[in-house]
Amino acid sequence: MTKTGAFSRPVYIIAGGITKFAKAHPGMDFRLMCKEAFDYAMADVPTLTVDMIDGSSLSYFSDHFTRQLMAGIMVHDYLGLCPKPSRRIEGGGATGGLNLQNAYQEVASGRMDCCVAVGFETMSRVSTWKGNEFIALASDTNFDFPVGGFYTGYYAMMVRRHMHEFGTTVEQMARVSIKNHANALHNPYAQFPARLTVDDVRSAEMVATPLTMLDICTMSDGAACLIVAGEEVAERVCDHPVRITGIGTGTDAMRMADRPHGDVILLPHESAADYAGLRYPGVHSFRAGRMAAKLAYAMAGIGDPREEIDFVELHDAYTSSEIQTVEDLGLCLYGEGGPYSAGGATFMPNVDYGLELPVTPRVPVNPSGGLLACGHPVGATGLMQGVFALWQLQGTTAKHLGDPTLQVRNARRGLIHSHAGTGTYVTVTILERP
Amino acid sequence: MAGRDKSRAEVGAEGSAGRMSRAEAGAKSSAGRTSRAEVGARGSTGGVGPGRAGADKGGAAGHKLPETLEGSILYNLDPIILKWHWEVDYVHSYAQDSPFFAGLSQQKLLGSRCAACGYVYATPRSHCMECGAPTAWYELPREGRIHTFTTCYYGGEAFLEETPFTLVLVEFDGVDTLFLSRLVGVEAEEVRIGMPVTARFLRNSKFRATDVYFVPAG
Ligand SMILES: [Zn+2]
Repeated sequence: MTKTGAFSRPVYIIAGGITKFAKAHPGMDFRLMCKEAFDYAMADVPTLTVDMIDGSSLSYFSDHFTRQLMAGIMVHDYLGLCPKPSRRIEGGGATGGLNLQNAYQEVASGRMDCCVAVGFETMSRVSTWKGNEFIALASDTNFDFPVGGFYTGYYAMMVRRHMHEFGTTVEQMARVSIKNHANALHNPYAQFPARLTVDDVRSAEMVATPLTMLDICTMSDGAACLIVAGEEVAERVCDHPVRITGIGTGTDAMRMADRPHGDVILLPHESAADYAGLRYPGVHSFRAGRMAAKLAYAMAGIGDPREEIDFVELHDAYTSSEIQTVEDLGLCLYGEGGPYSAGGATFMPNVDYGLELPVTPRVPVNPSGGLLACGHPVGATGLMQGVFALWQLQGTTAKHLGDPTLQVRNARRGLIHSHAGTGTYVTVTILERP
Repeated sequence: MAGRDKSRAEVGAEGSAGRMSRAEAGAKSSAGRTSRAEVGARGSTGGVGPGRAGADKGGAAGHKLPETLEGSILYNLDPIILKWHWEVDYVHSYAQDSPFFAGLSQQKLLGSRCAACGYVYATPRSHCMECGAPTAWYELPREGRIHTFTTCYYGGEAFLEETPFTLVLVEFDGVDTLFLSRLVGVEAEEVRIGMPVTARFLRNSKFRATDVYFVPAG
């Protein structure tokens, strides 16, 4: 619980690449998508050659979507990395985040000096509603799936309880949708950039009350890649490596119904008095997210995330999950996520949202557009966050996106957050400009 | 995770769905022709259809694979996109959870209780997640309250025809965890957190979690 990784080697991300996230990429199978992302990353560090790569870490969520077992080795093979070591990492929606943490561990442990983390998902291979059925198999198939297994339904129940506990509103959720879709207007990799109003979000088709089509991310095809390296390789091939200074991972019971009601896990800047009488996490909060944040902050030496983090890329599969997650991460207290997310603190200073924002931007959340607007090709998503965070910390967002708007000024430390199930696995990773 | 069918997000799929229906229509209208003929006919834009050349030369040594009439449903030729069907029956054991499903057929809702630490589970688990000790079966009260709810207008394909349906997590007095079920007999707009609900059971048990459902109490 208090392990800080102090005895491990420094680990850096030296390059990243992604494909455009799209409803379908019928012209590329998963191997070619991964190759495209990999080649983009390799081109960013031209003096790094394939023979300097010691192995890979591959991630995709669903064998059902892929209709191919051992797809991980097929990517590794296609990238020309055989017979070097590789393994597949899988953990639901957090698959990509877990993959990056695995690559970190490969390098931190000294097993590899350079490890490529590659992830993908090909969700267009089945209809959207069959896809939702596959995803719902990531809930207990004895007790939960047969009752009407549907992840949007699960998240709808969680936010309904959040609204009940804390007074969170659907208008606050709609503002998250507006923000993330508008940010994505400046991100050519995003699947669904859009300029929206609160009315657009609320009048969109209802999926599971209170979540509409515009509160929910899309299914996507896409791949993403990060090249992770130790100090020596990083210094040799990269002008501006970004260091991974903290990793945290949390878990919770698979069944939402089993979530206990106890005391809040406190972050360094909080006290028990902040949460007198709050039964936690119930189904309104993600204990795994709080645990992941606590561990990552301890390792990175973060005492007050409100002051010490410059931007966040988090797992906004639903507008409601962004509101719940900013609380888990301690950007605001539990219960304040709604007004905090709607007020302006998490918006970009130079994007026009068509909203009156009483609070000045402070910690941009999902400057890339997040899952809501970029799309969510599950095994790639957590790595996609890493790619955008890398570019923020390198100050190269304008170069890679062809648009300077989303560059967070003087970004020194960023947080990426990947999330599975109904909050079952969550990863938090802290990245810093050295 | 989820997927929504945003109109714009679906443009790509609709594009290919358009091609899909045309291709399928083509395949259906030519039902009875062999797949080679089908592919060959469609392949007229791109030269000889795959399979034809090999079949024509097959007689050399008298060894031939039998020709069959099953074709492929093609959605597109460049790249080639086709339909791939897969289905499977599992032999699924409820194993240690079995008494719960047997209980439903006896109109009993069984949770479990940890003998060591006293934690009570509305959704049973045979070992306690708090202390690891084995639990004992525990009959839940018929009446509980809605802890949270949603009405689903979409769902996974298996449940799409049942929409809209209302899901509830039910809380019970003296029980530490919740139970996921369906609520019937109340309009979506009238469901409230805290609303008292009563368990009902299917008369003809299907040995599934949906053998129990809830209705407003009283
Ligand atoms: Zn116990």
